[in-house]
Amino acid sequence: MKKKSHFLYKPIEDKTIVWFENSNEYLVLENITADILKRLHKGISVKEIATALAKKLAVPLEKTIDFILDLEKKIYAPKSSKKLNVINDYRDVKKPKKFEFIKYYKINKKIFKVEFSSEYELYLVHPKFAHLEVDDKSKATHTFTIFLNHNFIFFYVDKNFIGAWSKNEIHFFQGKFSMELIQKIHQKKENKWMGVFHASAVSNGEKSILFLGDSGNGKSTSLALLQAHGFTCLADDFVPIDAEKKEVFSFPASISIKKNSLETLLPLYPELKNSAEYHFKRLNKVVRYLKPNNTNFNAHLPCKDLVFIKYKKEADLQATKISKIDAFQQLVPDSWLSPSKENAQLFLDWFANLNCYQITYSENKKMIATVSKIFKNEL
Amino acid sequence: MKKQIDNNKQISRKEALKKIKEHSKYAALTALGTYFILHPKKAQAQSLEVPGTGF
Repeated sequence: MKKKSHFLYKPIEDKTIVWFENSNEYLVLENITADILKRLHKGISVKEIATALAKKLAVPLEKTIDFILDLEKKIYAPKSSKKLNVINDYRDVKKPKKFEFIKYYKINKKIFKVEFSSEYELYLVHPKFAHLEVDDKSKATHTFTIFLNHNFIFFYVDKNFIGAWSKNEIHFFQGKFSMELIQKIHQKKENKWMGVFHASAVSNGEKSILFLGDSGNGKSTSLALLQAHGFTCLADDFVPIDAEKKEVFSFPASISIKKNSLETLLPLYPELKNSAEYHFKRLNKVVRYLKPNNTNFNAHLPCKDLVFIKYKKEADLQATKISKIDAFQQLVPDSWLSPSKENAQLFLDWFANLNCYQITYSENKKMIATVSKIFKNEL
Repeated sequence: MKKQIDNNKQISRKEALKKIKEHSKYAALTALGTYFILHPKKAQAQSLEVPGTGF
């Protein structure tokens, strides 16, 4: 029986990436394995596929039959959906009558009014956007409302309920806040975005490079160093790429600078000396926020290069091209990727055309010179 | 009854090579069944930066 095609296939290097629509999962398979799946899809019998495989690998037929049946069972097995569908009736939730803090932020020509019921909600959002605050209270283009109710953070945009998050899901509330913001800034609904990447995006005015790496590897510090040397910060921590142009869009949040980067950055950014320090005790993190040097928050630029960056004390500069399959394995679990089939296809096509590098450095000048080379396609 | 294992059984070089070849055939099949499953994030997220004071 022919199975309805809810899969996408993309050969990359010596492997094939298969995307599953029902689970928005990406599988990295051997090419032959992906080919077996394709044939199963087409409705070709297990025996026929197994016979060809047995011949190809010179192994007994019963072994390949077992192999294919096992593969089919594993891959087509219904994904156990652990998601509990708790039905919440948020109609009963009453918005506070009074908001302790109301801030106005100007982004491009739009004014965003954000209402916070208490200091706790204020600190979840405001530090990253404080540089955009204005006194102009005349015409708010959009109103974002944030309040705490029964230990849940509630979020509304222009009176529409967006979501509610428990306190241990705060980073998803913050992500959603940013997602709503980019939708309003760039007038693109969520399904018009290919993905949002946990990265730093830097540009030379013509194109952009994404810096990736685990927290603490130096993404934001590298971005701050680069923006002090003629490059522009397009986005930090939350990097949206749209579906139509497949370009990195500017996101206006400031760059979070950890305490241990201050020594390096203070000579370049004396303003950091007196800027507010935020203590995230639970995460053992102390950060200050640095304004991005980008002034055009409409900007969007193509991206052809991914750089996994790592600051390592006393390391000699190492800059190498890395396997795209390795890069893919690091990129996907750390990203939000649109679950729509069209967008997943766009993502696979976009990824297939990227160059992926790894840079390890301790000397800032050498890192900046290497990034300049990548911009000029000279590495 | 205890199983008798004859450790002194000699096989020829040719036989040994044949056995290795057979094993490597199955290794190829095992390799085909090895894959990675990657899950993107279910929702957009920001780096964890949550005030730790007061709550």
